[in-house]
Amino acid sequence: MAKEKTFVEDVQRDLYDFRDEEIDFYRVDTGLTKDIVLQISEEKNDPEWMRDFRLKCLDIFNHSKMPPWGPSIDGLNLDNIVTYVKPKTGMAGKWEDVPEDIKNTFERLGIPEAERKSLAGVGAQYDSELVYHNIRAEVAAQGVIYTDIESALHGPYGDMIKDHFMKLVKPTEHPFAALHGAVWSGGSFVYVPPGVDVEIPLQSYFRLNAPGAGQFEHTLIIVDDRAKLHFIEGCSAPKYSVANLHAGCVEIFVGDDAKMRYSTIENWSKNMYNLNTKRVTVGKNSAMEWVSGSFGSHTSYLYPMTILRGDNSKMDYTGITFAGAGQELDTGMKVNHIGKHTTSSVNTRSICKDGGISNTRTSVVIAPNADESKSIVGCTSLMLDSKSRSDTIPAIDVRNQNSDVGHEAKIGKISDEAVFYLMSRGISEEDARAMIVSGFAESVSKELPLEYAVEMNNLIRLEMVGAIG
Amino acid sequence: MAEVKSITLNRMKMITWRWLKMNERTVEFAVEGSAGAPEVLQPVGVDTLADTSVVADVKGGAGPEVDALLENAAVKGFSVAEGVEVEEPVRIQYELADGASTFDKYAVVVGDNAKVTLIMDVQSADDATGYAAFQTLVKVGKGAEVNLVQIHRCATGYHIIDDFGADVAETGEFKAIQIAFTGKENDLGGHVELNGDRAKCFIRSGYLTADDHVMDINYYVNHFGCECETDIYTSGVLRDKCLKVFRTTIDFQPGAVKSQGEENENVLLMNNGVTNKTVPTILCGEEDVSGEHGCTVGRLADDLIFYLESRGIPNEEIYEMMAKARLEATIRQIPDEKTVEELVEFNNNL
Repeated sequence: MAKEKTFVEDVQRDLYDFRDEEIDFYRVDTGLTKDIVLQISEEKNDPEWMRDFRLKCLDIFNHSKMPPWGPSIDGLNLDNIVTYVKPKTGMAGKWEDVPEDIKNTFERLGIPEAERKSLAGVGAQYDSELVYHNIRAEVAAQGVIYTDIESALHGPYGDMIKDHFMKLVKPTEHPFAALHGAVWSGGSFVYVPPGVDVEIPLQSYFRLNAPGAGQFEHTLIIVDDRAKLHFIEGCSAPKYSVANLHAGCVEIFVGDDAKMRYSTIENWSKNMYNLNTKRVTVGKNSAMEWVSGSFGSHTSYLYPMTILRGDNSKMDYTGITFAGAGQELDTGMKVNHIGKHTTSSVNTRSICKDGGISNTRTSVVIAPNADESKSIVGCTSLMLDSKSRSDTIPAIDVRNQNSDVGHEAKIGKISDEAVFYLMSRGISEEDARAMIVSGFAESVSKELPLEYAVEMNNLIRLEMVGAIG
Repeated sequence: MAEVKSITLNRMKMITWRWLKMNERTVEFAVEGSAGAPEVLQPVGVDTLADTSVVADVKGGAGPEVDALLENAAVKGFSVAEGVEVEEPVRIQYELADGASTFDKYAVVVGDNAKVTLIMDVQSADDATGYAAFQTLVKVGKGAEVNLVQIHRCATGYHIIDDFGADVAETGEFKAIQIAFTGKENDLGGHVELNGDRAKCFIRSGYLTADDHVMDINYYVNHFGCECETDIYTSGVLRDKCLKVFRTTIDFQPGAVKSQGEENENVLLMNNGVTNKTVPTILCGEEDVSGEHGCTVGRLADDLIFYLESRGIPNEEIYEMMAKARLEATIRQIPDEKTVEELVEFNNNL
């Protein structure tokens, strides 16, 4: 039998790389001006405080400087980005009420099926607006609120939104937070009342169909005391030759004695600039878990941040990044230990090939009063060829004597010793290499619900068709 | 007192979030200085280097503003001929005066298969204040071995910048040991280029930083050749309200096949109120390498404390003992018995 080389496939995008024609869509002009911001605000029928907030954010953005660190975003010209594209439909509560073409898009992506099988609720966003939002009756009966954020803003939760909106991620923090504040549209609001355990995950899925457009959804999640929630975020877009921009924002407030898990499978197309901001504040005795798979985008800046505010709070972060040809993915996490007896555990993995660039950027800060805190960070990078790059930039700032912080990182290729060991146990070389790479990603996939683990494994598909040639 | 100006130094190659305030350091430093008058013991086998411009292409680690600061500084040069192994170290002893501003540079060229050790010991009068900036640029020939030891024992009013740079040829070895016992501000920089195959770099640093003093370190090692090795280890003790920033960068260029780089740090915090910042980065453009870093920050292990307390040693004494032990471990890396003995005693008497 002819021998063929073992290789690691690139991320499989065929499933996601289809486009819908824009019919009767509403678009603002390209660029970023006060008039455009006001147009968006009027389209959304914003309350006065939100309109003023948008304008203030625009002003902050116009006076901000781009960060001097991180991958180049020279290819992103905001003058060419359309910040608001509205499909020709309102938001539906049943899939049958969603326009056929948009519904078919989400069918192809498996969202309605996933909802039927294994989700407590789904929010589906298409370009700048939510087209579908639903929550299971039994979950709603527990008092759980899962709705589009704009309905919440205009409804009984308006004050709650106002009290929390961009209070955790402030527009002054970086230019794309300010941009988000000016032109945000779509996104979900979740509130889990005290003591409620939402046993099945909620999911939001973001699809950006329009070329040259930006998506700026805002997700606001409040998990009250003693409550539990697993929230899943997914995204994709077809590939275009022009740049698209994703500058979403996720703010999560976790009360005391509560638990929150936020899982993401990010699979934007390779023309996407993904400059997303996620942040959580964690109360006493509470736990926050991040599970993150980053496979898409041309350029990513993605660093979920956790503030362990309450005593005995903890955070676990598990993430994997796959950077292929033409991608520069700058990902990682930040954690601030404020309360006493707080713990954080970070496990990041990255794989790069075909000239892909993967940067792992982390920070751990232990505040002076964070007595008896512990943090362990592990970063492991696998390079599959010498055309690629993998950089690790971890930062540690410790100001408390009674804390323990450990960090370790490893960069390299598939270990020859590990391959030899497996071969000495009777496993062929190609199987050994496949096992090692598969095992490398397994620590993330095992944290996901099965359907998403399957999706993630589909995104990193290993072809084993023979011995190494 | 000397006229001062702001200079930025010790900037990392790959910077990160600005809010961490770790990317570089900006200090107020004397705008000019005069040549120091160290006592220099130059052993047989070490020649005076006439043309110090041969190291002009060697880069230091502290950055271009320090290069500019020292551009016109007096340069003293040493060279060791091919194949000559010098047993006795070159000893450069400073006793800095109160109010002085001292700028000195050293150029060192070590021929193929030669070996030499340089020991710089910088002290000052008690209660002295002043500025001192040093830069040592080294060319390490094929198969040569250079040990550079730099010791800072100035009074707590002194601000020291001490920068080194080395270009290492095939199978050459460059070892640097920097130890800072005292000093109001210590800015240490190092830049090593492992140009040839199987070139090696070892860096050890130790520090005791207290009061409101500052220890700022930036090491960068660049791997070009195949099978190069880097091993960086720093160990220190922080107390009171001091600030320490430790930046290391191990950079693997494409083609540095089978190179290895390891950086480790161990920091003991003696009390709350210190600020300890660390950024150990690994930059990798080559698949077939091994890069690792590890960092441990915090207090002594509980079982160690329990063991020593059960032997009747109070907690505070345990910490003092372990603090001295850490620095002594670095001192004992110095390849000169006389220096080791003197420094161990100095450390014990602190």
